[in-house]
Amino acid sequence: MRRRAALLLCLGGLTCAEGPPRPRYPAVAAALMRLVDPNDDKQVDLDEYHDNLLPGGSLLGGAFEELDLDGDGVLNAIELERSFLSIDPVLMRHRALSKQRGGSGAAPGEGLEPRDPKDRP
Amino acid sequence: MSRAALILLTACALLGCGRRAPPGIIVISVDTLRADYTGPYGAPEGRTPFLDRIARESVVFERAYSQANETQPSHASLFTSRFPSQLGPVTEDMTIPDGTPTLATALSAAGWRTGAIVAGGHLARVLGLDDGFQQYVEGRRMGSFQQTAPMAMRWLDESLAGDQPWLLFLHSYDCHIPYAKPNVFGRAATPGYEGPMAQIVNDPLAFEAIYERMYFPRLPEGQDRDSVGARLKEPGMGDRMAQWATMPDIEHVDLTDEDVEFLRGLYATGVSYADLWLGVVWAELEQRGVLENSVVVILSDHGEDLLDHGMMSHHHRMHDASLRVPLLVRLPGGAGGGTRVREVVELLDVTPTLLAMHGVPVPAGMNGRDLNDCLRSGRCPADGLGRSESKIGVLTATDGFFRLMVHGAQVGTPGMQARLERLDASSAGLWNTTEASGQEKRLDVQSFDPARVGHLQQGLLNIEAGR
Repeated sequence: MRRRAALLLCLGGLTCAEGPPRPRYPAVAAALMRLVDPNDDKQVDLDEYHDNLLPGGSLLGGAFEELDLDGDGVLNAIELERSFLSIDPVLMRHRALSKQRGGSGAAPGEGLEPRDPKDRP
Repeated sequence: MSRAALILLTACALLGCGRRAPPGIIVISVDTLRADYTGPYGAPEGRTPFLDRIARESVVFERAYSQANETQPSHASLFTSRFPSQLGPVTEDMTIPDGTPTLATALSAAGWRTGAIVAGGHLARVLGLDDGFQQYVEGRRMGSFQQTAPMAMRWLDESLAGDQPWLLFLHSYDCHIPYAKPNVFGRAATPGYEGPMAQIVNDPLAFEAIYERMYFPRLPEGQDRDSVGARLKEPGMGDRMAQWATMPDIEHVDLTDEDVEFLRGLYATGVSYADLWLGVVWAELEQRGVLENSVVVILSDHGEDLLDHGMMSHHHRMHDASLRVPLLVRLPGGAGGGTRVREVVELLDVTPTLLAMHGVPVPAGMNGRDLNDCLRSGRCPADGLGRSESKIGVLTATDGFFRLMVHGAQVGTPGMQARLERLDASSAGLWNTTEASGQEKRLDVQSFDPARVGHLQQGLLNIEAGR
């Protein structure tokens, strides 16, 4: 909650502990913005969002307000990219749950460590 | 010549104005994408808007089948054009024998630049799919296009700056259990749901502890969850779970229709999230002008059983839900766009098709057919079969209307061969696949049309001949 409030304040231009927010994964943000922001004004309104990214009637099309963290009616690169980052905590939660239940905490597929190709069975 | 024109010509010579990028092939594998959950294969409008758009520019194979219900054997078959059992014992993490020709080795030998950006897990380099790829990059295990797509675009930019033709393999697990997608989208399909399944959405193993509408939140005493998690994928585990349901000391939750709808909705949302990334990738390809002279193949390695046949995931069942996959081929310039091929094809047809399309000899030992005539005419031979193998001791073939399933022995062994030749009711079944998934009717294999059954049977026997 505190983190969200800090992010809102930062996005609102009031205070940022470490300067203006920047995309954590610039390549992802850039790819998304190129798709959704053809006029390159660095802001995505609801029409652009529906026209270029997720149509209004689509399964994911209703998420605009969820993504618009500061409620200003447009998405910027940070807000847009944020929607693509919350996969990471899912796997982290899985690890925690697994350990709680006496498991190893391994992620799905874990254990398939890359080895030297010469070691192949 | 004016001074300005001279400067322009010199600049163009240096910067490559008017230079046409080298042609290429992009194979995009959306792991666990079941055909009938996508728009081009009948899903409701709005589920996959980007794939719908891509389909209008592509040749869509309506009845394409994977050769295995697991990631590694299916991809191994796709790229080697051999059935999994022709590469070794069929397991979840089987390896491709060194020296086996693949799409990448053939193109690499022909002077192509080859790169793969995969989401790890069952496509780890150690399993041998990297042969022939000059660069083979593993992203986060069981990861998303959010990691692999930007890496792929960087690799593509390097390729486009050169003059070699190129092959790019791009892969993600966006629809795979736990159907991980950003939380903001996570419950878009069933937003008001508050039932017991809401508690398991971040626990991949929990999805596999569901059997016939029963969820086992705790396992029998002495069973470690992670070790059982691995064993949940073993043959016969479904039968064992059925036994648990009869044991009074093992807690289970009976799932309601609402619970099932929620689970299916989670998967549908994962499909939509993968589709969003296809849209991002497509826009990047358009921006680079790649689509004018390159071929893009979009497919999946297997589908997903969503309690259609009693279980979640794709490890235990060998029906269309787990084996019928999308296959879209977008030819340069969108040639033939919107064509729909109705006849049955197999994923192992993809490699010989791409090699022949680019004039690269198809290595000996590849089983697939060259589909270039189908791409041109929109018609394939009508006798095609979709054959699939599994580690759970099931061998199956479909002609798009009926499915023959033989079970009870490891695929590729004399035991399975004997069952296949005998086709008695104890180890073989015939299913009418024209019904909705989960509603398929089991027919008597011994009294049904012998010509149709014989065709399916012979198709499976032919695998043995190529082993």
